[in-house]
Amino acid sequence: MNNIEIEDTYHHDFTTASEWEVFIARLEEIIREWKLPRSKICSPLKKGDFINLSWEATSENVHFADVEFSLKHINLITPSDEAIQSSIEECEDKRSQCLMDALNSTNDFASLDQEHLNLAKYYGIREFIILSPAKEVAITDETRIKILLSSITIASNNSNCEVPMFVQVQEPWQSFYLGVSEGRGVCSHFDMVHLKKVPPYCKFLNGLLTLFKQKITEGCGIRLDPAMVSARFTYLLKDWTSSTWTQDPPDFDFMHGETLGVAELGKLPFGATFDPVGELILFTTWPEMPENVVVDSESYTDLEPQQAPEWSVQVKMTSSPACLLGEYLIDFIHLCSNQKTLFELLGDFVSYTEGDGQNLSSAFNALTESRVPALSTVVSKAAIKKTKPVEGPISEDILLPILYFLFPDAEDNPKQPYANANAYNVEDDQWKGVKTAAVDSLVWRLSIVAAHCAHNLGGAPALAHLWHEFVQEIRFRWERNILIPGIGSGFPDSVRTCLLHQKLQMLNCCIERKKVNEESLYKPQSMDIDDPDSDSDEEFFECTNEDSTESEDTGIKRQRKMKHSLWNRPTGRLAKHPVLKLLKTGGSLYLPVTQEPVPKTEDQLEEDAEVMMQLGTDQRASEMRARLMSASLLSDMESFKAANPGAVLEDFIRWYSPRDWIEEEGLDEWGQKNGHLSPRMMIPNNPWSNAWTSSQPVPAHRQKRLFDDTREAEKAIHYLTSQRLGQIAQLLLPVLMHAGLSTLNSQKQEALSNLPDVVQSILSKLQYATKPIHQKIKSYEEIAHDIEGIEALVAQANSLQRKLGGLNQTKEFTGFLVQLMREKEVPVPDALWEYVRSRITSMFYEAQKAAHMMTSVKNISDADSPRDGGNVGKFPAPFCKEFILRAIAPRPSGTSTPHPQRLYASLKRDHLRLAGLFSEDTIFF
Amino acid sequence: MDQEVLTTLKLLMIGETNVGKSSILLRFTEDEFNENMQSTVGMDYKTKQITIDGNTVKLAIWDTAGQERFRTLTPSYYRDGQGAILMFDVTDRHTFTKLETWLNELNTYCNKIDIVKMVVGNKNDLPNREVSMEEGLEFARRHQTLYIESSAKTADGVRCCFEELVEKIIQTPGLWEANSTRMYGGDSLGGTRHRLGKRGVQLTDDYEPQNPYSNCYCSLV
Ligand SMILES: Nc1nc2c(ncn2[C@@H]2O[C@H](COP(=O)(O)OP(=O)(O)O)[C@@H](O)[C@H]2O)c(=O)[nH]1
Ligand SMILES: [Mg+2]
Repeated sequence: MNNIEIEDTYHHDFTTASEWEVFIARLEEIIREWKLPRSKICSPLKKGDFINLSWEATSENVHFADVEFSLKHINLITPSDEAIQSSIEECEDKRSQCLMDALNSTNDFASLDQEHLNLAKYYGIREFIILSPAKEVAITDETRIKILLSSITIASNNSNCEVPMFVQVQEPWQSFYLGVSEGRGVCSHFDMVHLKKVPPYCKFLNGLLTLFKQKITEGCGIRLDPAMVSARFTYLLKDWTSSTWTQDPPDFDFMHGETLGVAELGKLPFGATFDPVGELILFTTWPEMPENVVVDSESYTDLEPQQAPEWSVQVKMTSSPACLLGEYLIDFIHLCSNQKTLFELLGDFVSYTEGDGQNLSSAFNALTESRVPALSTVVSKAAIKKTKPVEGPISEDILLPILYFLFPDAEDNPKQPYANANAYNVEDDQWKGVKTAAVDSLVWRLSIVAAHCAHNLGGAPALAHLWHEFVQEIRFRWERNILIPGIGSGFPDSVRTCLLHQKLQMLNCCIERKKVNEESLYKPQSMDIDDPDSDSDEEFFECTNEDSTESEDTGIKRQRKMKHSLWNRPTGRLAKHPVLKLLKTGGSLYLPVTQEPVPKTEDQLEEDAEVMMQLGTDQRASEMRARLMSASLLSDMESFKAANPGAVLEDFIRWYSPRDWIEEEGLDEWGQKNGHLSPRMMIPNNPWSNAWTSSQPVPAHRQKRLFDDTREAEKAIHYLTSQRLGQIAQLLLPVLMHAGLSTLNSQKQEALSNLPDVVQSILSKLQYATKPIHQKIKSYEEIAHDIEGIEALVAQANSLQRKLGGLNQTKEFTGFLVQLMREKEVPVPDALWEYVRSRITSMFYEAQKAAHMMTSVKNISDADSPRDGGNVGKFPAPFCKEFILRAIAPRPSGTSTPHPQRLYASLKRDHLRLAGLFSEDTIFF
Repeated sequence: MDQEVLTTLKLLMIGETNVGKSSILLRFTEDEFNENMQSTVGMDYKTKQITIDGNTVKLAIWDTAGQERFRTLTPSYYRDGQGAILMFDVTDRHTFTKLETWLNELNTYCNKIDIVKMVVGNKNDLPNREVSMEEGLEFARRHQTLYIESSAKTADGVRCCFEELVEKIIQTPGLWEANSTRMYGGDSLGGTRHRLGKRGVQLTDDYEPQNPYSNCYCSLV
């Protein structure tokens, strides 16, 4: 329907003299603007120029009546353009650039993808002008075609332009061009034939040669010198037999019930699920032969691919190969938006195990102990309890190895114990700056098995199940004072590790403190006791111990006397200060045992900061903040007072903030320098003096604890249990992504020499993504896609290596592979000639055999017999045959000057294209 | 001044106690000097909006106390800082010597890979200098930081100190994000106009002190 409309709109009477003249004049004008009327001859084309150099296009729109055309000038940018221009004059009598290029065979059969560039292939020309409809419309009307053709002929003539000019006609997809070029006494016509059915006489070289000669000699009847022939046969290989694609799917047998080596558990899969190389195209080429040395007819052909002197190869990659690692990561990211709670996902299973909280979980422990005998001595040993009367999404025989992998210390002979705990604190490794967890630490392992569960064992419910078991085990460890393995020691590292890792570090801190507290309960002699009836001798000895160095100190006597006035007895002393003496009493200043600093995780720190900020910024707010912050100051003051009875604020300041003690001339009665508090410490009611006044002498261990391990542990465990599935996935995501990048980094592929650089650039994205406490899923998506993209490249390179290289890892082969990866046509280099040719030949042969077996599938016995292979040709029928015929012959008559003639032919099963260039002498005809 | 805020930047004030951190901050936020400035307990916090090259940014400034004992408490607040002012007292060499320790601590506890640092020599109104400007500059060059001298008392260099620091942060891509894109955006740097600092000195290894006297910190000498 549309066509008719278009026809109508565009069916104009082009012959209106004025409009036509205007059109031609405009064409000439543009050609002049482009400065094309020149007879520049560039140096001859070299091999590969068409492909390696870049093409430049300029275009202008022109109207003919009210139809819009576009006039395009396309030319190859050759580097030597300038240098040659000087010799223009000498070239006057030579052939035009166009005809010289048409005879030059160095770029025969170059396949170029951009629009209109197939003209370069059809005619071997490096520069041309095209007139085509600006919109995609067909020009099929004979009259209109003729008018357009004469327009360009006239324009080219009038403007003295030797550059061949074409009009594009017929349907746009046909790439159908007609053209002309005039100058130096030659007129060349560019004709084309495009058919869907190939006439029998055109199917072979012999017929085409006849056609070519007929065209040249029509009307002049002279005998021709032999024409020169170039030929190219193209073969396609799409179906790889198993021998050429041997990527095994990752070995996840353990996921299917087999309790085998844990080695696989800690690894992420890598590679493509199907062959990333979609298609191999083989070009076999015979350059420039005299026609009489080659026969190609229906009954016989010399053009056997194995005999071709030139082979080149091009591969086409599948557009989106399914990559295992990429899929793992991207699927996992999808889970991050899952809003379901564990209960919603696991139902009864969770409600049973969690219903009664504490009580029940100790019931599990009992169960555990009976099943795992080693765990009966729980105090020093970690344990895994397996307890489910109700089955979860992950069956037990798979779950157990996973749990032992995460908590190897629960087994007597751990298969994969964690490395030395200190190893997890090292930060100057190659992954510095990524805020996740150390390689192969607990959180690292957890994130990987979580991905296995999510991907292979049942998606969201399986992940929920794993998490549930994980948290159960953590709770169990807290209750039994068993440190969590693979976490390292120390405070939560909110700078270098992810939140989940910090939470587990926090739990380990709690477990450690709890252990210390409980142990000290069993050893009461190691600490002061409130009980006034406690053994006073002990106290006495303690004091003597501490004071024994000052043999004649009056303090001892004083303290002995005050033995029973508990409020004034020194307690909680850590060490004696080497020089300082108390200003009032002259006794030694003792450093007190102070409360340990409070460990905090990143989210807690943020909450704290939030509270501080919300107070505002005025004076009152500052005072409030000072009060909030003074808890630790107060605690330190109380410890100090307890350790130093009779101390004053000045004593405390000299220890705690020495820069606020200003020394003066002269000595005090104890022989130390005189001094006074800094002005700001003497301001009445300043926070320091206030705190000092309100503090009581209380040793650290009897103070209200700044850090409540039980509360903190319960908070952390509650945090872990209450996460929704998406939040769980988000907690694991940074580490999983890190593990993914690390997997990518461990790939070795010679052909991808810049793999380390690429990994580095993804690494910096990962550093950036892992930093903020509120994770941005988007930035992880980007990283996952980056990784997947590289994974595909590695898979492609591996596949090509396997197909074409086998074990060949030479520099030559790697170079060849690198070029192939760009999906361009690559000549088989001399150094690899025999090797690659035989590999390709056998691939085709295998494919042929396989295809043959398929067709004669009923004769299975035959298919297996080796004799049968003999019947199969090594190569299939060519997908495409191309010929270029060249001659220099006088036209239009026998007495004319001989000029270049050329015919390009391309034959496919249902396609024939002939593109002829025929030149005529315009002076002697 | 009711301009749209481009971003919020977190700045840290660190250095020995008594060098004048709180005083500088008070001078910057309220334009006051208080002889009776109280000694900071733990840490304090102030905010201020400033407009630089047409970009209004909100500064959230954390002032730390500097006592040895508080060190176990405060580094947790270093998290996510985009800029740090490392201050010493030009009349007290000890505070200058200690800068190295503070810098180490900053590098350990601060998770921004390239937090912008500025070394500030304070109290340059006083006559009894113990640390020369050359020494200060040399330290800054060695550690690739900005450098300026100031006085909370006379207000010299105070604005300049904060402005240069903020300008440098805004010029550092990846260090901050425009407010609108806080949660979801990419690397958009918003509509900032970038220009090179005129007065502040970025001291790198190849820094040449061609004309240090054109810079404003020198007007303080
Ligand atoms: N002369 C002079 N004194 C200052 C200056 N800055 C601070 N001070 C004084 O130095 C003391 C300590 O200041 P403060 O701001 O509390 O120092 P911070 O401990 O680093 O916060 C106070 O007594 C201030 O008055 C300054 O620039 N010049
Ligand atoms: Mg202060």
